[in-house]
Amino acid sequence: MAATTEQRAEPLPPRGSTAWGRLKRNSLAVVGLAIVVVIVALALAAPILPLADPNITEPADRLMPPFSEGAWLGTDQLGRDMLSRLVWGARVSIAVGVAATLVAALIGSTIGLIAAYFGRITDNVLMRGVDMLMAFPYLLLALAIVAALGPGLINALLAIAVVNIPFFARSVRGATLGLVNREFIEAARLSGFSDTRIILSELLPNVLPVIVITMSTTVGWMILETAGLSFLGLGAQPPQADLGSMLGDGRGLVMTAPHVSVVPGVLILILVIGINLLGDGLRDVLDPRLKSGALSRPVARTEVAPGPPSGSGDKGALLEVTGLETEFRVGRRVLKAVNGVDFTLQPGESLGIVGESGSGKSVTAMSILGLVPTPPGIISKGAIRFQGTDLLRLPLRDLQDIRGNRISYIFQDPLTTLNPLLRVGDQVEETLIRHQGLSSRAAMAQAVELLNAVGLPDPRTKARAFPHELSGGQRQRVVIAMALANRPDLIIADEPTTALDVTTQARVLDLLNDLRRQTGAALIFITHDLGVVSELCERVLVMYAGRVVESGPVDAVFNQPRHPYTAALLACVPVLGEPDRSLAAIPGLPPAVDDLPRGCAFADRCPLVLPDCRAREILLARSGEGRRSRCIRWQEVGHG
Amino acid sequence: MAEPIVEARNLVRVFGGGRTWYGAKKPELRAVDDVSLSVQPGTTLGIVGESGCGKSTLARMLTGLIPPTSGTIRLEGRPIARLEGAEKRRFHQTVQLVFQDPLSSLNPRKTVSQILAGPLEALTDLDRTARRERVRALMDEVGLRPEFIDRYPHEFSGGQAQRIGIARALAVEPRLMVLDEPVSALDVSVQAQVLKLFRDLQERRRLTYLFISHDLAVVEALSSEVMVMLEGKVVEAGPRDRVFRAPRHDYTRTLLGAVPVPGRRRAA
Repeated sequence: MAATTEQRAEPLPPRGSTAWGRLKRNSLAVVGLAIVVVIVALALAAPILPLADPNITEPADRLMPPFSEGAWLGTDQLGRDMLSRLVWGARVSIAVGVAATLVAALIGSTIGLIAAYFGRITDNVLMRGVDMLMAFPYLLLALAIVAALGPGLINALLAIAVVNIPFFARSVRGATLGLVNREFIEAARLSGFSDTRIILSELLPNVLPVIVITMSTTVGWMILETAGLSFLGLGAQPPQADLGSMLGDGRGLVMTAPHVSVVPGVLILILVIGINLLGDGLRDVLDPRLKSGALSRPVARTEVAPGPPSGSGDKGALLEVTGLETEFRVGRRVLKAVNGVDFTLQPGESLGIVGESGSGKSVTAMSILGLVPTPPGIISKGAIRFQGTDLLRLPLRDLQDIRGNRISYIFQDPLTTLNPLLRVGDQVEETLIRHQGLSSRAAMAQAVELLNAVGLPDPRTKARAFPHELSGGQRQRVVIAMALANRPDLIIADEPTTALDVTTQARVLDLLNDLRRQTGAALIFITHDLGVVSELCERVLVMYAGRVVESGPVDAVFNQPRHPYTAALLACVPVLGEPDRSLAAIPGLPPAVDDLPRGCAFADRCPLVLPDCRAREILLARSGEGRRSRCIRWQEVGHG
Repeated sequence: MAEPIVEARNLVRVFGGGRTWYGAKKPELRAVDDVSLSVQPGTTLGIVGESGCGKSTLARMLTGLIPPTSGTIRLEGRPIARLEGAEKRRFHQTVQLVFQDPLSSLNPRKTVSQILAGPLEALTDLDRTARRERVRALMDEVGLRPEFIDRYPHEFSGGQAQRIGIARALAVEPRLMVLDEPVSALDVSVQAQVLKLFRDLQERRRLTYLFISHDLAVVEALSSEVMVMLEGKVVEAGPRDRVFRAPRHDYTRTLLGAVPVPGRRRAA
């Protein structure tokens, strides 16, 4: 219920790569696909291929070796043509395997969907039934079912399907559970949909990928199981051939005529390998977790494009950012998240960076410590000088000595910042031990002191608590304690109170402000909330589409904005105590950061736009005492 | 005074509770604890409170998504409980809900036209052509361009997705709309667009809103009456200006004092 603005990641997911395109890039999956296509095509074409009748016995020609005249793969102990039996047998095996998969998928998915959707007692009864199926060794269970029903292909098919129901039921139930609490299911209920309709039209399309993945990874397995039952004489009955029964027929002749068992054995091997390669490839393409790039591991710091080291500028400044450009390279698209940002920060100063989602404010801050994930992020231009050293060209080791020590970072969500498995006290100690080389005893004492300083009640006990045992406000206090542990010169806080309630936010802001004044640290505070900036910061940068559009002292900028975007942003915030003022919404949307216009990025939404605004790049120019604006008509802003 | 469109008496909702198989007591949470309210047609009741105060549970009870543990809800004079058949249909035609997270409230596998036609199929007798017609009119009403009709939710920004959610709620022409944090997930400039849309719709259709939010400034901008909740209970209720200008309860005063205002520095 707390505000969740800004949780959207700023880089967009890759687009334009179809499922087929991604499958094509996986060469093993393509090999699997080729194998499956060839074998299935041969099996389907069996009736029209010029093959001998697979069941005609020819005692005179029994056990002919492969490559004999008239029998390419030889004949078996009854003189039947092996090639023909192989093709017809593959046809039967594939048909039974696929049919068993479909039956198992249908029944298993139905059980999974119903169990997850209705929950409670229905879930318990169905899933305990599935558990009972899983409690038996699967082959034993299949044997028992066939034994009860009598041998035969159809019975073998049913037995294998039943044995595989649990795999489908469990994975579909798992996927559905993640969906039933989503709001679109509640919306469907409010739209008057029946339970059946919700399951079929809302849930099923969303779990279909899971069903397809499970099918593609189990069908090979099921063909093997069919072959296993037939091998034991419980599946295909003579004279009909399937790959398993052919294997069984050849069992006694392994020494004298190995080809009778080797030929079907090799085909089973190739077929199952082909299906599994294809299945794995399909899973990689369809699984949303793999698609989102969760498996690509970012490196320890953002990649920096090579460039000339920059000359030093303002000697007294604590932090000086010049011409910073950070982009995300996703496929063929280049998203310019930060597009030429300059600012300086004096020691002890507090600077607010405001902007809407996608304006580049977080990426700017993360670039300072090289925290933008690579891939896909890369700092393509610019320099960041902290106390005179260029952070972008510093060796990783030295940068790590600055991170969490001279510059510390506070993230939006304290729950994801803190390690859930470690006690909060230990997490504060960790940063003291790393940077100050304290003994663990001294670090513990200091951690408790820090937790006390951030106003955590009973800090000695709270230090032994795990993050989930604290409230949201208390967790953020712990994060602040960690940020202050090494008396940093600069604290970067990225939406640190957005996930908190207003009353908690007010206390956390007071705390941050007091501690900052006591320690003399400078502060960069990133937020979408203009009110919070007013309370905490001396100077403000307003960002739009990756650029600073206006900067200056907070009070001056907010009381007399000199960029049309700042003015519009202020006009559309509802202000407590002024309920009747009309909310002037900004028409339209910000431009896409992979397709920025040449001129002013705000031109399309601006009431003051001139042809000149679109013709050339607008520079950030002086617009008063300590103020700069990226607008050629800044003098007219706010005068109608 | 006209008959209230919705009236709730002593609503209570308890989560958990009961005993385990071994007889041990399970923890119990009174999410909504003895709440009564009544809303006049054409007005907006704003409900404010911090996370965990029970405001969303209240929204779900008033829209029939979860039943109250005890207490009664009357909609246009008729008690709602155990809705079946025609009674249920009429209920959903009268009350609709707009959700907080625009993307999570839209089925990712359905197009805009399928999403908007859903409630029309299930709750009205319109035929296919009439439904298509109505979908176009709805999109126009909430400011979605007609060429969006066959697109999927992930192709929209948060503000546009929320417009789809609003259009879906409007589809069956409800008289009461429960808005559960409808602008909290949006950027301020988009938030202003959506708030404006709510104001326009109310004027045009004489809608009644139950507007739930943690953002006091937004509630103040839209409501005529306000209710402040804390830990499942109503601590203060009354006309908007009275509650915001002359709060009587300490908690209301704390809430109001905590809100940061642009261009104003807190006396510290």
